[in-house]
Amino acid sequence: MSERATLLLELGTEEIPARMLPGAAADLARIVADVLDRAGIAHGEVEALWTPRRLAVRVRETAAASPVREETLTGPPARAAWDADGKPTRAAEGFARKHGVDASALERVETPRGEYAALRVRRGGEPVGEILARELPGPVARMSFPKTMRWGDGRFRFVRPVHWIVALHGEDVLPLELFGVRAGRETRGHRTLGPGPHGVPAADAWEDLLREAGVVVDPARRRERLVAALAEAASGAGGRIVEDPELLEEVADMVEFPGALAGAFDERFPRELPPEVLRTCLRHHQKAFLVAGDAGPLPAFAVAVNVPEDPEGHVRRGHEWVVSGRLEDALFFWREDRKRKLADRFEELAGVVFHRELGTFAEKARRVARLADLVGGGLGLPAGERDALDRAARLCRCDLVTGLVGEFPELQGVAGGLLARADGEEEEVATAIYHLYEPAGAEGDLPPTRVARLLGLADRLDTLAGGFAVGLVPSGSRDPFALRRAGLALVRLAEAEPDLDLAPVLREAVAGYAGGELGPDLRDRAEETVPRLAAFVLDRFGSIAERRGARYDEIAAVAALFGPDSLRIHDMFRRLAALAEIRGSEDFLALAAAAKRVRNILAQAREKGETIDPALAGTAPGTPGPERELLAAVEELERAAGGGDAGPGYAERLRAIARLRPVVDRFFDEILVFDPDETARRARLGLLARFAARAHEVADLAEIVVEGDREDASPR
Amino acid sequence: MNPKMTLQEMIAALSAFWSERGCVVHQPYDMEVGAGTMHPETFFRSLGDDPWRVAYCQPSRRPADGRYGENPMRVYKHFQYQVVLKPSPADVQDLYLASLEAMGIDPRVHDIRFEEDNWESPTLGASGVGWQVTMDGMEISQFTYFQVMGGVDLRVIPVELTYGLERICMFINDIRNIFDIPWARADWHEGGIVPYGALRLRAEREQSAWCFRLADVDEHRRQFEVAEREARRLLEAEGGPYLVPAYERALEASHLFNVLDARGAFSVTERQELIGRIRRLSVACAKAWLAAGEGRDEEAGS
Repeated sequence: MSERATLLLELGTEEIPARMLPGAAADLARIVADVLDRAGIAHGEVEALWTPRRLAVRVRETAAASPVREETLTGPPARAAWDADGKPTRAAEGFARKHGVDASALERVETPRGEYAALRVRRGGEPVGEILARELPGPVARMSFPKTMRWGDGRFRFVRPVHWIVALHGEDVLPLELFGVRAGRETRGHRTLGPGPHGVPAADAWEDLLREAGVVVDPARRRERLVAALAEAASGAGGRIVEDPELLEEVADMVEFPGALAGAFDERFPRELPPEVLRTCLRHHQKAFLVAGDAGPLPAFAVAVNVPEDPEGHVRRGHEWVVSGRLEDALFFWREDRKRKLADRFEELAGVVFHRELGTFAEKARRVARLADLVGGGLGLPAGERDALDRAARLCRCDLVTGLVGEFPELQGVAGGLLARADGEEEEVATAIYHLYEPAGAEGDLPPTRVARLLGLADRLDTLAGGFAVGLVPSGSRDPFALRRAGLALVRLAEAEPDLDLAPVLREAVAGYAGGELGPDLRDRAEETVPRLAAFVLDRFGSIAERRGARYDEIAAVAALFGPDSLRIHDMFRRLAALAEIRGSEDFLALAAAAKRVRNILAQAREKGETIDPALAGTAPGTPGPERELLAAVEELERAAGGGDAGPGYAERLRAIARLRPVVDRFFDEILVFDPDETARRARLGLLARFAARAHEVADLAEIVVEGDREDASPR
Repeated sequence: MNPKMTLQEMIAALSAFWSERGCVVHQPYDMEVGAGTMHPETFFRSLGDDPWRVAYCQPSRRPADGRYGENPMRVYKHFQYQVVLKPSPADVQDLYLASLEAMGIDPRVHDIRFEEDNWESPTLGASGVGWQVTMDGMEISQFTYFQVMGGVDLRVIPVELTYGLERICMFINDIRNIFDIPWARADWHEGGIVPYGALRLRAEREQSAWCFRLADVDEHRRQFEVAEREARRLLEAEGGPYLVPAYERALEASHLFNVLDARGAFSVTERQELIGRIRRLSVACAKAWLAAGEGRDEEAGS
């Protein structure tokens, strides 16, 4: 019973969509691990394994049963359980019957309340199979998928019909039933390489047995082998595949056997089609990789196949046929699209709706051009770049009405850039259009030129302002207008412009809608939209900062300084970096605690209606030493800060503030702020206000959370 | 030319194969439809709990797909071989693969895969879960477990297999133009076969011209209204519902819609609206069928 062995559960199904596989296998593994853990069954590593036709969980070193423990169940008092002759009474018999034993099994036990009849029982020791049989069906049936289905008599619902279940503990079959299928030891192999059914002698033999049957069940190994197979196929075609990690992930989950082959297409295609279009076409329609040599794309592709070889060449010829047809279509669109200049398509944008309430893409292009010009002007962009920015803003959505983007929506931006270049637009303009959709979010490269970045920035500003104005504000998992992604991109694009303040441009972006032909509703909403939008941008800033390892209190300390009146993203990241740099010092943390204390004192003073006037600092007659010292120190900080950006950097300023610690400590140790004398009190409050202004200069230090720090620290 | 398999041999092989597996081998529906699913023997028999098995070849008209006979793959009318098995049997994938073998396709030298592709028919108020079956990267079949039909959530689940006959025939015979595929072996005909083009090319040219250029938009709109009104009348008529003729009017409306669509007669909103009107007819027919306790013994179509 106590023997440990590998536990295996395999759900054999019809082909599960690749996009759902990893999540489903992970869910199943979690369910099995939960059941084991709740039952106290010891086990080792839990692995989620899968192919399109199976979800599996393998748990190493799993105990055969739940742990055994002895329990004593107390019954009636001894004197009521046995009569004078020592024979069990009816009370004793009733108690024994309830627990399914004979009264002779009852024992006498001493308890603090006296002697009682009792039964010693062994609890636990339940075989792992019985536990799983009872506990698994519920949660497995409730597993969530983007889409589920019924089949056959319609009794069950799952992602695809379930046909076999292997459930083994070591060599033993577990008595499970799921989806009306009894578990056994029979699995199936690859449909043609080794269909089976195959009897699995033991859980540990399963993976090797399936490999013999043409199935690689470990997804990591399958991907690894597929990479090698694709590389070999591509090298056979004289090149290597153009990497595409997402596509690799997907195709590795569409095969049970990781095979690959290369095919060829006509040399016209790489000669006439831009590599981006070639690659997108292959990927989009055929999930194929483009093969390239040192000098660029070759007339060849590589594709994952579910077979080890192609003895008669059917598989290669089939793919070549489809690929050629698709490339022919792409070439047709590319040629057709080039018959008209991108600029000549602008009119048509008036027929493409951006959003029902927000008008067409033609209107959007005009707003974006205006915003871009405002931003560019404000940043002193040279005239040539300003013109390029304006031109790009007007042209950047024209590719929406091209055949190429109609066929391959994922080429928007890229297609526009390529067509602009082919039209003879300035390189600066073409590049900006090409990179319009970058960065994709919190990660991904920024556009390579300043004009492109400013174009992206103006575009995102406009999208966000419009989205917020009509109430498409993201909440929970709902974000129909992808505003979070737009916000992340906006923050990253703004970070690249040290002199940019987003606050006034946010206001302009909202005004861009309110001033247009859009309804009065939108105008009414404009005022309240700006602060909400600023808060949203601050949130995106926080989410990027967090990804980069910033602590939430540091983010809050910086964000506290910004809002609808000032949103200098680049500056915010610099402040954050300074905080992170200085954070380790003990003086700094102590000072942060003091800053919080000062904040509370000032809040309390305000509540009491006290006068807080920085000019009154040091004006009381007979100012004591510690107070004078603090004033002198604050004055020195104020002189240093006077230098603005040319003065000391943020980290240096924070260090200077941190150096005040002994002075501040002494002040609080020896000085009573709320002195009964009004003049003294006002002077001290004025001093603290000036100190607070310094402590608030780089970041709101009162937001920094110090270990053992309490929010309600009361002023003395 | 000595083809491996002609189009008519494929149809005969599939009919024999599914006949042996208990299917009623039916004939194509004698009306214009866009897909085999619209055949009443699929639409109505998918409803309710009674078992059903049927197989037939259905010419399917898709006006917008017409290419004047100039495209090697796309045509106004193509032939679908359609099989419905209800309830879906556990070994349906194996049966499907065996049916390919019956057409001379050896799965051991091909890469046959089931790739996610969920089906939906907004005019039938129907949807299902399943795959497109690809052979060596080429889509050759649709494989669908119906979940909803005529707006009704199904309890007993039918599975529908739809073979793209022309594509498979092109594949088997390594032919790259649909009009070259062998329809029949014929020593009396040039080349020893009657090619698809000999039967279909002229019709493709003319149907494309009709659907894209010549069809009278106003007249089609009028006929759409008539079909819709008749369907309603037949469903509500005393002594009714007369749901088979009513459903046929819905099929008519659907085809008229497709022609108008190919003519580019709609705005996006109007298009959605008309689709909704056809769907409401389909749904009403399905509800009437179930309300009448149909689905057993009686003949649905003719």
